[in-house]
Amino acid sequence: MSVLMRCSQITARPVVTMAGEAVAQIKDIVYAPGGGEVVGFTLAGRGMFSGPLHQGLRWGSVAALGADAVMITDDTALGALQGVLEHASSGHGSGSDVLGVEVLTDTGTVLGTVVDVIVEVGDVESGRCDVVGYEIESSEALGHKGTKVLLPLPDTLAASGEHLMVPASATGFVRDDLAGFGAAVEAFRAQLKGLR
Amino acid sequence: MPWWGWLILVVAVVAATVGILLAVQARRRSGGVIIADSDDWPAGDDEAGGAR
Amino acid sequence: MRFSAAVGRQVVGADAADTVGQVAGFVVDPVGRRVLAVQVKKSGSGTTLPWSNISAFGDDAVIVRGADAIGDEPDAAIVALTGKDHGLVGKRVLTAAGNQLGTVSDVDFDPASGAITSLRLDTGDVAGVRLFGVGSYAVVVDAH
Repeated sequence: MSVLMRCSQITARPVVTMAGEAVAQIKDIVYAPGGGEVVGFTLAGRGMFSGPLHQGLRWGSVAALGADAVMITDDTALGALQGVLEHASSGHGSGSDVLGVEVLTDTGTVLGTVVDVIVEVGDVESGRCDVVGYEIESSEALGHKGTKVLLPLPDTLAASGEHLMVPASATGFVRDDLAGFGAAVEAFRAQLKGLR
Repeated sequence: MPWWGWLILVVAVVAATVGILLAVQARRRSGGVIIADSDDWPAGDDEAGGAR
Repeated sequence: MRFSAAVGRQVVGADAADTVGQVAGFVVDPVGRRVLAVQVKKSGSGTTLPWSNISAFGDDAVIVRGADAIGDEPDAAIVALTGKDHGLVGKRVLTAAGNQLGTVSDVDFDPASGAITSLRLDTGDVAGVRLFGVGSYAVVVDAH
């Protein structure tokens, strides 16, 4: 059974080993533009005086992502920052941060700016974690300017550091809260498959 | 300035410094949601991690 | 039997029929899911009573051979599991799936074997067999 989570709540969540030690907290959530899967996390220390850690956590090394902690078998799951995780955290860390970026439809309309990202976390066996939606502060195009709505995303994301694009038909599947959002994502993706 | 004036000044400066330090560190700890650069992905060698 | 009920109980030496101390706490091995030693408050030296030195853990007193059953140089395994970091009571409980169940308010154990039978949380009970690990941040239990 998979669960939908907001990235705003995954940030700062503690990283805990199966032996009950909290070794870090989540700093950034890094995802791949193509299929939208979460690649891994950058980490920060847990105290009031600690800053970012020079270590990252790849999705493959995560034992479980729950509502209160990210579980790892032991601290060998944390690795040096390499590749995608290194670039995500270099310098000011938020070079390609999607928060605050405008969402554009493939017909050229701005729907709003991203304030949060919704991920679907699969159960431990299937092991997937994919970005399935954005929470956006909507522009006039969606009716009530300034309200926050949840916008579903297709399986394949059109996203880069500059623009985030969605098919225009996504506007027919927006929701106000997470409760019905899972069904909206499935319905939207089913509709996209039907059109092909 | 009487002696207690200096004391208040020192305490205020220390409090302000600590406050700034905590705020800076909190900002450095905060994170966002980052899109990986497409040239970095698919990532290279991954150690065999994860206990699944 | 519960930790909360057993703390404060007298520890009596069978050879001299004297009180050698009082139960102060417990050292738990999360891998074996059992009590490894009892921490004893006493006037002389030595505060650790290995479970193997206990003749009987009764409702009114804990019987040991004599005062020498309580050692001041416990073996390394017991020392490694002693301390606030390894205590159970008052600690948050996380499942291996990363969800918090509650905090431990008390622990049930079998006085004959020392096995942990259940953890009593503020939100309900967790069977002792689910205990997986205890650390400074949380007690980790299996998800089911």
